[in-house]
Amino acid sequence: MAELILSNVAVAIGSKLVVHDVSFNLKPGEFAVLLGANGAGKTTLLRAALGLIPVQSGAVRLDGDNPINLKPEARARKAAYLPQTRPLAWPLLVRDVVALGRFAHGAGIGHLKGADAAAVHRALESCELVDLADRTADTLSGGERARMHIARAFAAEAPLFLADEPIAALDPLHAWRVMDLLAQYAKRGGAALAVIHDPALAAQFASRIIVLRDGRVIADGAPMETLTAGLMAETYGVRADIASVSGGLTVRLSGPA
Amino acid sequence: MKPSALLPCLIGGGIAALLLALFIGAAPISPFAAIKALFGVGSPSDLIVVWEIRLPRALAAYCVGAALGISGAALQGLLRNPLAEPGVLGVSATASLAATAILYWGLARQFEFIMPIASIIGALAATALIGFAAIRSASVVSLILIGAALSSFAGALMSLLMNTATDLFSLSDMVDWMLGSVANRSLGDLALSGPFMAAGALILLSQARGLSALTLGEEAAQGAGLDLQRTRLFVTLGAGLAVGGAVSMAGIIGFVGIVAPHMVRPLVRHDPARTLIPAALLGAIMLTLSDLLIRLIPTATELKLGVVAALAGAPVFAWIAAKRRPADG
Repeated sequence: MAELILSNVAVAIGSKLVVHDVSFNLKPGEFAVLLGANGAGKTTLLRAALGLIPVQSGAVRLDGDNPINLKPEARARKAAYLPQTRPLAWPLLVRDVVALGRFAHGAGIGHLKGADAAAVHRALESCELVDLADRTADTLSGGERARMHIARAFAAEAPLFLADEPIAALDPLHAWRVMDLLAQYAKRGGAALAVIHDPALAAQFASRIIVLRDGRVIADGAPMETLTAGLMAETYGVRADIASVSGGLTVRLSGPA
Repeated sequence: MKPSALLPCLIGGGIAALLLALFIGAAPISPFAAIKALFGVGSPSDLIVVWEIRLPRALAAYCVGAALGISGAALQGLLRNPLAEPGVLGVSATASLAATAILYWGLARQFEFIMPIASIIGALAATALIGFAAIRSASVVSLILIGAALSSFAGALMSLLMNTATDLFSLSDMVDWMLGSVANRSLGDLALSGPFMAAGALILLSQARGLSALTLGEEAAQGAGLDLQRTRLFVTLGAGLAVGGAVSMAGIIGFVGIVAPHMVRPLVRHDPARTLIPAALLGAIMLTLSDLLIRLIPTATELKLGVVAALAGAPVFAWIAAKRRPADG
């Protein structure tokens, strides 16, 4: 079981400091949602947490190691990553795209064996892709393609999962399914951190909400305590009515703050 | 065709093409006599025709086709674009420029090894430039334009060298290099360039899995555990060695690196890793047969292999460019 620890992390893009003094621990079993307006530094924070870009100051520990010092394959076995943009250069079979999730385990697509084949099958099953496995990726709908990319990241079976806007451009049903998949992943003992732009879905599924504004954490806690009208105004500049209902929160926007 | 039938077909096709190239030619030698000569039995003239003319030429065409096919497939995987190719990206032209400069200053006669080494340095310089540009620019279209500019510039410098050349022999050699040909090659030439092509191909094969991962784009591939810098470095190095070796053998031969991978890709389910070997084998067959065709066409001066490859390949390039659509819808 791996833990992600950020201590006073600052990240610069060029000469501009994009993330300031961010600290949090992500523990096994947690599904944390990272909220924040466009440009708040969410993607940069995820990249730095994975060691894909260096931090300016502070420390990142991925299962005890600084990820930037880990070999890429060792790092990928600890944390799966679903980036915001998901281009696909060639129309591979859905099964083969998902098999790329086993890259860090040394698997080559097209000739999977044993543990790799089993992991790919589990990922296909959990994302309801078994029937589509032998289709080429270019024949899928937007929602199916999104599930394929999530299955690809799941196939790594890493203890940590970092997802950047996994439900962008998905219809309500598919968005709900993806959030449910991430919540189940956390229930099974994984630690998930996802950037989401839907506060209501975040409140329903996440065990924890971390809010970023101008590169700083301005709130961190359980959805019930974190999501307030004041926070919505401060984060997104919107006027929101928030009411608690059984099992979650309803969030209704009524215009600019 | 089943993917499992592809490799046997391509290997069988390659052997058939090589045998045809041994059997057919200006000297009337029966297939049986040609086979006997291959094993060192027969009249001295048959032995000379087979061992010193037909075999080196056929093997040269085969190896150059394989080197260009695998380099094209690997560069397409690295840059995630079916139009990336040593010729289009200016790698062949830069390698050829280096070879032409060696001919211009008459250095080839003094140092045997200088031709492959100069071609490889030229090819590596061009692949490194393209690789570096790929880091800075996300757009593959701009990479292809940089390649086109590089190609034109190397072509202009070659023209300059030819324009100012005073020695007719080196001028004729230079024309050969620019047009691309495997005529009059010896097994010694092959022994010189072959190891570079083989080393390049092996390096490219070692990067096969990484090329598959790059299908997801650079960020997701890195997230999945790919060492991107290392993959870039080794694909650049491998393609540089293979193309440099091919150019030192045959000069500029374009479009094989586009057409061969394009034809095999649907048969290997578009996986960049599984495209490499079939692209090499098909490129080899294509050039062996093209070179045979050239020998058979009754023209006053023999057509050059590079000219024929471009005549056939350029329309295919245009067709692939026009039909292209992204795989992610």
